[in-house]
Amino acid sequence: MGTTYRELFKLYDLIQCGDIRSIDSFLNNCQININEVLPCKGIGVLHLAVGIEPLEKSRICTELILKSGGDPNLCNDDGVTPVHIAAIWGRVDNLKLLIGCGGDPSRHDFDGHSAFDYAAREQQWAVYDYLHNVVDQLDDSFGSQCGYTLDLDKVLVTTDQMVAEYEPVDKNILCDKTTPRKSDMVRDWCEKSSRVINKLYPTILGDTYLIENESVPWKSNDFTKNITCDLSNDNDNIDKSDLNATNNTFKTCLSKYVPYDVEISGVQHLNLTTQQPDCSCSDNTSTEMRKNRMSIYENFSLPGSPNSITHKNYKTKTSLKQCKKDCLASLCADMKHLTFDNSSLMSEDASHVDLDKALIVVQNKTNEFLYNNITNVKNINGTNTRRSSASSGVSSNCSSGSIIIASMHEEYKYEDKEEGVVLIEKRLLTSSVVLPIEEGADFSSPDQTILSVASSLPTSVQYDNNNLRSELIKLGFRPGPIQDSTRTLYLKKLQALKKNPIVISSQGKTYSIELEKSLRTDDWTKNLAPYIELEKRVKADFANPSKKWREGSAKTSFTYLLLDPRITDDLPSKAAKQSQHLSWITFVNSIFYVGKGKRSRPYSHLYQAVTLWKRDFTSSKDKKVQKILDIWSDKVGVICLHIFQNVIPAEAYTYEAAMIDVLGVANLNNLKVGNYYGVAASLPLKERRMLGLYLLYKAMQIFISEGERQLRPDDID
Amino acid sequence: MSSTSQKHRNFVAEPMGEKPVTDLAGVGEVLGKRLDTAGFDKAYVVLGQFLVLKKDKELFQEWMKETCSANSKQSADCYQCLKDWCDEFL
Repeated sequence: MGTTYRELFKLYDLIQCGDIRSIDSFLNNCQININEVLPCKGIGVLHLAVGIEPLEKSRICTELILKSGGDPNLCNDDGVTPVHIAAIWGRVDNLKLLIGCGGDPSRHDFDGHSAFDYAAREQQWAVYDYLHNVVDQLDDSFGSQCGYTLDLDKVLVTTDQMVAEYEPVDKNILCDKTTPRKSDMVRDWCEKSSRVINKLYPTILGDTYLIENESVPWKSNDFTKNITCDLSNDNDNIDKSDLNATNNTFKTCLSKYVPYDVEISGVQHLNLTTQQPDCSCSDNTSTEMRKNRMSIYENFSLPGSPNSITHKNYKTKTSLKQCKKDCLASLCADMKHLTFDNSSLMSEDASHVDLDKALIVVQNKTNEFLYNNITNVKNINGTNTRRSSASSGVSSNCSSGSIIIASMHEEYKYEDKEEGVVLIEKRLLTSSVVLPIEEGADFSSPDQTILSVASSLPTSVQYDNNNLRSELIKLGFRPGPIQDSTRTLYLKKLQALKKNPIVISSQGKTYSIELEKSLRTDDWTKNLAPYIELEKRVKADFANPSKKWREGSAKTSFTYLLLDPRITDDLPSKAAKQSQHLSWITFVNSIFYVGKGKRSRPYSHLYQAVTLWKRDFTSSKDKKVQKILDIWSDKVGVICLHIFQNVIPAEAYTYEAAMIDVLGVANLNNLKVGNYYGVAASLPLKERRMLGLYLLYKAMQIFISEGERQLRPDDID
Repeated sequence: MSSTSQKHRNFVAEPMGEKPVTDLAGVGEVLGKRLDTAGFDKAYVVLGQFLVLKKDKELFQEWMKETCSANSKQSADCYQCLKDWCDEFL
């Protein structure tokens, strides 16, 4: 004990001197319990670190100590914790760290003051705001500003083999200052698409460059041949050094492949004239924020005659000229050539073109893209019809050739400037894009297609023992020693597991009786009437305007679930292929947090984790934050499922509570069970759980139709 | 629970020592011979395999089936026998 205190006093002195390097090495070398209150001084080292001057040193010291396991809730003899001290001295940065590591801001010291009280008394309003916003999550109801921005960052198109990445380019001219409402945007969009061909074509640069190279064969050969050349060159050219130039200017990076070239390969020259729609990917969570951010947009009205095509070519030219502002000189030159080449080409070839066919393909593509965006907008009617038309069109088109299935991801950048938080939201769209390849075309690199076909076959990997082990563990099975005598057994086991994955929760979670029952069979889904009835009753009460609800009656709240992507494994895309029951089990097992949020800051529940992540913390005493950090460490994003949007806070709290009850607070990383309001508060436990069960069921359906959205901080990878 | 056989109770009653493999419940003369040729001459060798497979019933039964073509009743008996022995003595 004596040594402990001596070491601690040494550390205390180091902190007081602000000698960061020594503190660091001291903490690394010395295995002492730093969560002790020093005699005479009456505080622990963390108390001291939080309060020292200057601020920067204080922050670093706090960080170091927390990383070495400092307890943010360590009480001194007066019951004062480091959290109190941070509040008193207005150290917001420290406070964020402390609370992220499990510090409890509502804890009272022996005089009965909490961190809130101190912040108010010392007039540390920054602290006070922070505590209210992030910790208490009180809803500032009406007129609360949108505290964040959400912008399309990039679009990823993934096939078995290739990943194409598109980044939108800022174009101020096109950026509306006003932020149109979603409904308006969608209406505009629909109107436009009815009479105009809209085409996402974010890679004009790559394309033009490529065609420039091809200009000679393009003229001399017949049309279909050109296309194939184009296809192959796509990969070649873009992968070459010119990519850098492209990156610099347009921020368009093509890693391997330009699928949009392929898909309308039958009408290559149309590519250049096809312009981009104002593609406003409607966003579910934040309905207000919308900007047109795709770089090169133009509308390409349906050409009735070849003449109109040439006309459109001029348009292209102008659009390219606009882009030139951002371009390197050399590339500009290239492009000028190109447009020129192309327009001349255009007039020559126009008569050859099977225009109708071209239009169909483009139209289909439009529909498909449109659909992809619209899936996220639930309140759009007619989504289904659109989908069917799109898919049927595509399939009929592809029936002649081989196809590549590509899945599309969109990455959004979520930025909250006030809090200095940046998150990347990755949306895995549920419908995959079908890229048709013309069969008749002779490919100069034919292995392209062959490869993609081959890769769809099951991989017959030779498993060595380590591989086998990791595969088994991935499937949730913990194998014993894999030796010669057990190897074949485990191989068989692996095969069996791949056919029938382990369905019973492997973590040994036991849920409430209602949920356990639902996990065993899915009979209950056949008769949902009592559940629906129950939900109606609860809902009706919240619609009553005369009642006074906690946090007011502004419909700005929602409930959210945090899911572990390592368990869901892109469930929405698999859901169509497997039984609903299986999806249900996966879904339930993957939930690790249920919470209530408000619209002005939809991702505020990740802020604590981001704060820690930025400082390279890998552990936290807060179970939820710990889980999020774990998930991020595995290089995936947390799935954040926002459900039951636009409800009043009390309703959101009630839903949260019902879902926590049915899942069981022990199985979640929630600290406490929720609160019921309204009529739900008087329901017996069984009915509350039934409500929760039904809400979860609805949540799964939302999840499946919406697709996965993974949130991660921007510095992963 | 179905009652256990006399052979099972005998085996579980005491440490296995150097008992031959045929003393295991579910392993008769035929299976015993096959196990013997596969190198599993003593009960403790089978126990070793049982433990290496982490007392996993499915895997152990699969192993029995593979090494000595035991049917599911035989392998289940043997599994239970070793399991109970382990619960008692390990």
